[in-house]
Amino acid sequence: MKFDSQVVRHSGWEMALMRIAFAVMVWQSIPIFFYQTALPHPTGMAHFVDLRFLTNPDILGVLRGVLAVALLFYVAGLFVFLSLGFMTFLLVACGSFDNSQGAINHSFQPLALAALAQWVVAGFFAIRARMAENRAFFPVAGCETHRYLVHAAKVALVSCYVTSAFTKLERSDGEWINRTPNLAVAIAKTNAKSYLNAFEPTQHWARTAPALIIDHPNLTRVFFGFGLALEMLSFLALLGRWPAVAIGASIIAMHHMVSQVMDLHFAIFEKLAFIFLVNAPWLIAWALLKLWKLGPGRIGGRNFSQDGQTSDPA
Amino acid sequence: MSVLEMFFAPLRWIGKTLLRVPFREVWLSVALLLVVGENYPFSDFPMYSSLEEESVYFAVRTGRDETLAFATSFRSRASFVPKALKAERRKLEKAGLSQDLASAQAGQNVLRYLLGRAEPQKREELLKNGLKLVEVRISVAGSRLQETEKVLAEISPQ
Repeated sequence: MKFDSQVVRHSGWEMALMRIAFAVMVWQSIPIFFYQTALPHPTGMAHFVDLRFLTNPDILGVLRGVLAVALLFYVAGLFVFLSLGFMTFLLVACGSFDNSQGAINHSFQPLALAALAQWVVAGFFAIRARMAENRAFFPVAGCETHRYLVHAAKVALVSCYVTSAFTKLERSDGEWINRTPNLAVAIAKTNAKSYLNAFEPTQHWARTAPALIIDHPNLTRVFFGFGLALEMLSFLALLGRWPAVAIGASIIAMHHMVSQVMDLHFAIFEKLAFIFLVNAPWLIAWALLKLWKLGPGRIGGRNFSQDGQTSDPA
Repeated sequence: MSVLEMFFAPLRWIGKTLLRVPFREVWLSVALLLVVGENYPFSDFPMYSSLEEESVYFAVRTGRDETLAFATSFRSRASFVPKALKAERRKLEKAGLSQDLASAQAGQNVLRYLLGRAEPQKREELLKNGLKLVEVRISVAGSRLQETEKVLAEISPQ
């Protein structure tokens, strides 16, 4: 196995399921209306476009209607460059509007980044088909294009984790692991903030974690050190199917523990890891075929071709 | 070799070398996220990155010291306040206000913004006893957590 990222030879049905799940996530993340009416602290697209048009429910309704069509096209693999372009535009516009209220929220970024990465790759394929190969225009994306789109989504997701790890090391002057006992005050703060939202009591672990951390600083360093290592090494998920399953499952487990201890939820990150890295439908199919003693090739089980390159099946 | 080829040769060499770097698309993407920083959808994901010895959260209380829930009273979240205060302070400092003045004014602006977000029928009730924005600082003293409070901004009863 080559130590480099591999474009996994996913089967058509796996990628179709991934597209459906991704489309559902995009649809659910676009709000029906915005409470806010102004952009007091512009960020992202709000620097260039006056996004207040999103506060008009009629316009937002029309945009959601167009989004529904774009998502159907995306799932069907039709006009992927255009459909992904619109999905990316709306995700970035709504996210920028929400984040321009003065408080930056990191919940939805990987979704928009995954759409953006896929759009860039779709653009590359569209240009290559038109210019370099001078092929006739064909609106349906082939298996090879879809494999690269899935790969782009994976790259976008793992890049968020690697970036987060670099930022932790940079902002703590390389002392992040050493400083993890300070998480006691950070968790206490998060608990207080969670409680102040709606006066709902925090989870048991979240309440007891600060005292545990104060009493066991070295254990804390080891525990959160694993988390940092996982973030830093998450790019290894691109080595193939099984590394993706292992890293994806570890990421979900990490988020689950963080949600228990810190009452912080990163549902979008977890769902993306589940869709693109864990790829449960393939795992189930693989397990079933193993049980029935059939070859993994029947479900697109070969991770890579001999040289790690992909080629479109006939 | 022409001048043009000589000019492009090092660039071609750099390009070829970069193409041999494993996981190059990840490094490119990470570099982009770090350079662009906090500009949606890009981010350097700074959550829990500095891990200081002290942590701060903010509460809104009435003049009678009753704490108000952010979601039900202001259709907002507690995590909004520190980020909004920082952004507002930076904006005011850019406009020429001194650090102290910018901090005081930012607190006042954020408290008024929150009040503006409350449902119109609730605003009168909220203002009856006045409102204050309180900064709560958490630290570890010995082997226990301790909290110290400071009022950042106030709106008088109306």
